[in-house]
Amino acid sequence: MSFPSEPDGDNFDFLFKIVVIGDCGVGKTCVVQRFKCGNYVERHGNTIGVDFSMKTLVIDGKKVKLQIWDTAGQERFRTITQSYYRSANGVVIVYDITKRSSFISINRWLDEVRKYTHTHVSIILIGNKCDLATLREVDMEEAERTFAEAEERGFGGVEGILEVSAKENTNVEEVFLHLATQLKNSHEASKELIRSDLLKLGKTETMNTHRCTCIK
Amino acid sequence: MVLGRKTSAGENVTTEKHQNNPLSRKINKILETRLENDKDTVDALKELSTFFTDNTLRSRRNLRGEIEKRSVGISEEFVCALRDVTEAVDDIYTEVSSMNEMCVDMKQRLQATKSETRHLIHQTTSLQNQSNKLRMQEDVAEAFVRTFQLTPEEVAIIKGSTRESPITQEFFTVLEKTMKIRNNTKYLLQSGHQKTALEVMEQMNVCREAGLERLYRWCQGQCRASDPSPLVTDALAALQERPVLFNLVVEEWVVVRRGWLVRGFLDALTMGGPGGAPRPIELQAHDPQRYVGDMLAWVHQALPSEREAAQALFDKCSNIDPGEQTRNTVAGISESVCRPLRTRIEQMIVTDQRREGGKKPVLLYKISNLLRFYHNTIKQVTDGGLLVATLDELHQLSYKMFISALQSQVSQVSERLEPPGEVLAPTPGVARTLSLLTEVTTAATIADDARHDYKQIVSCVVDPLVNAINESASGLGAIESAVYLLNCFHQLHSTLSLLHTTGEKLEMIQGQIDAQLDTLAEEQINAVCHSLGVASMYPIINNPPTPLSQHPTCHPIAVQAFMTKLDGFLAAPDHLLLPHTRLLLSPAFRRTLQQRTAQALASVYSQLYALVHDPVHAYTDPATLLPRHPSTVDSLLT
Repeated sequence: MSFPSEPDGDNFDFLFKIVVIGDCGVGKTCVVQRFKCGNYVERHGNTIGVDFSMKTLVIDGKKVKLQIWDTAGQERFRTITQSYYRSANGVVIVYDITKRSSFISINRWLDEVRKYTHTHVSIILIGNKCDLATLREVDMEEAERTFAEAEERGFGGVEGILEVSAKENTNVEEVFLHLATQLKNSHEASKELIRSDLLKLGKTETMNTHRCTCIK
Repeated sequence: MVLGRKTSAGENVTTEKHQNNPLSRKINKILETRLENDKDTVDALKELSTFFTDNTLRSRRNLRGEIEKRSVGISEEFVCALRDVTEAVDDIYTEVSSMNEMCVDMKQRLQATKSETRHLIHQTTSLQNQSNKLRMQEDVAEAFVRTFQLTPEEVAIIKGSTRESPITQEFFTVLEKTMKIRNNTKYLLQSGHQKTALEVMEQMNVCREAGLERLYRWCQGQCRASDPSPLVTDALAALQERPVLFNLVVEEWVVVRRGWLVRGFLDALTMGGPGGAPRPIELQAHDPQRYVGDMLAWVHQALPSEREAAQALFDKCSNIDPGEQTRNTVAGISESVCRPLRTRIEQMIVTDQRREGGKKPVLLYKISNLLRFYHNTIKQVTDGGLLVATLDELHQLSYKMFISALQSQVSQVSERLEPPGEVLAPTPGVARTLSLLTEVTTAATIADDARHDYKQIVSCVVDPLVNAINESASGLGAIESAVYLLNCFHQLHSTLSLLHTTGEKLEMIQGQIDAQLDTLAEEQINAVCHSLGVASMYPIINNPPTPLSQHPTCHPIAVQAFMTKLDGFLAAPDHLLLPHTRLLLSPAFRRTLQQRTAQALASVYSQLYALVHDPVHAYTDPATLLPRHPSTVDSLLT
């Protein structure tokens, strides 16, 4: 995968694409907004297709630029949003701790990630709205169990599980920082390869893998 | 004579007898005497010869008497003559005596006169000294008057003979002089003439006060005159020391000029220039851009002359900053046009809202840019003031209206965005919205800093458009939606890349393009591999069992079938491509897809080739099975 027009204005050492997915209404856009602008908007309209934000973090003196694709949770945009998984380096799966159904969907989302992304993708699970403790429907223990199960099922890329609150700004920064650090470290490990080459190679492989899974 | 003879005879005798005795010597001496040489004797003998004529006895006897008688006669003669002389001398003596007396008298008189006049001379000298002193005092007094007083003429100039008498250049000279005199009084003070100094100062102050008062009145009159005298500049410089009067004059100036400016503006609006050319600006009211532009241009061109006038006014003022004063004055004058300008422009902006037609946001943006341009230009002239504030407000308002008009128009278009047709090309709505964007951004050429707006304008247009495109694509299948989105984004990208300063949006669109291209490439590779029959082999190739030839999926027959199909593909590569990819508008995208497909296929082939040619996998005659070298396939594909 090449980047025909990488922005020349701001320089950076790493560029990672992060896709934020999850059920409709779990607060994906709020989390991204909180991270990007530091503000919180109570009511957001439904995201249509994808939203795009950028933020550059400095990790260990390196400039890490994050391209965050905030996808629509609605089913009807699934075909569009799936396009964005493929090139993602990191995935944030969001569920709502006050809504059990969104938590149960995690497995479906994991499957989807598995299906479309390449194998080196880093995944992080986050339970949003942890400020609404009285309405809680999903325990932390249960969530951690699911995380362990996911690891057992071979999702090596799952980096961790965190409860966050976009409203009270709990853990939001940490989620992206954690993900970015993880990505930076794993990419630095394979530094001898030029970034675009690495992506290109990975991509071709992934496509073929994917193709085969489809056919099976 | 006889006596002599006798003596000589006697002496002769002696000489003869007694050569060496005195008597002989005496006789010798007498003998030696030469009578002819003795003049006295000769004279005496000559005299004697006159009366002794007859040498007779008688005569000899009487000789003695005769001689004596003659001697008495001579003496008597002598006495007679002497008596005359005495008398003459006595006469002279008396004469001289009388002269002497007169001289003494004269001398006495002179002495007396002299003693008499000494006093007089004394007096004269002192008087002369006094006169000199007085003359000097006069000089000093004159100099003093020259230095510390005004002449009556000068006082007349300062105070004015009549109320209406005009101010002339001399007035300022005199005014200057009073100032100088006032300054000079400090020398008086230093030299101890306190009283005089204070008096002079008082006098000068009174004079100046009167003069400035008169000057102020005159200035006020001049302010109202259509062609103020150039001396007003000097007048203002002089009035500086009375800030109250100075400000009053400036205020009057501003008020009068303000009135003229607004009258001129209204005339230009309703009556046009002299003789109707140029035509009244109000006639342009149907064309808001022209109308607003003309009005602003009129105001703009009116200000430099005001500025020049004000500049000339404050040219000689040294106590204030002429530049600042000029700007403030011009700002004050320009206040008057704010109201007519604001009502008209506001009306244009607001009524335009109700106007129908697609040009609305563009027009508003043009007006907004005009306002910004003039705001910036006029700000340089007046540096603040009500006019600049008004223009700024109007600019804000028009910009706000523009953004809301743009938003409503874009949402109107994008809400009714047509569903993509068969060809998956961007719908007319997309093109319309993009052309609106182009139109708006090209309208911004007049203002320099318009590029700052671009970000807002672009997100105003692009964000709802992208949403609408996504929305309309949501009903399509994966491949169709990818193609449709790619076509739309391609158009968006090419429009936006013409505008600079849209980096983030471009990056977003580029990201979306990349994602969609990935999808499409994957789908295409998938489809090609599938139709070539290599799809099922791939997982086994990746993790080959030994020998591979025994595996049912990779049986030599299957490999051969693949080779045949691959040959067919190499002959006509387009044949197996997804039909939808032909609908991609951008050749670059099509090329990318083709290249990726080729790359993937080449890599699969080279992998298979290596395995087939590996004796471990026990393929019989690998050279006929896969005759082409991977590099050949690679070059054929690309």
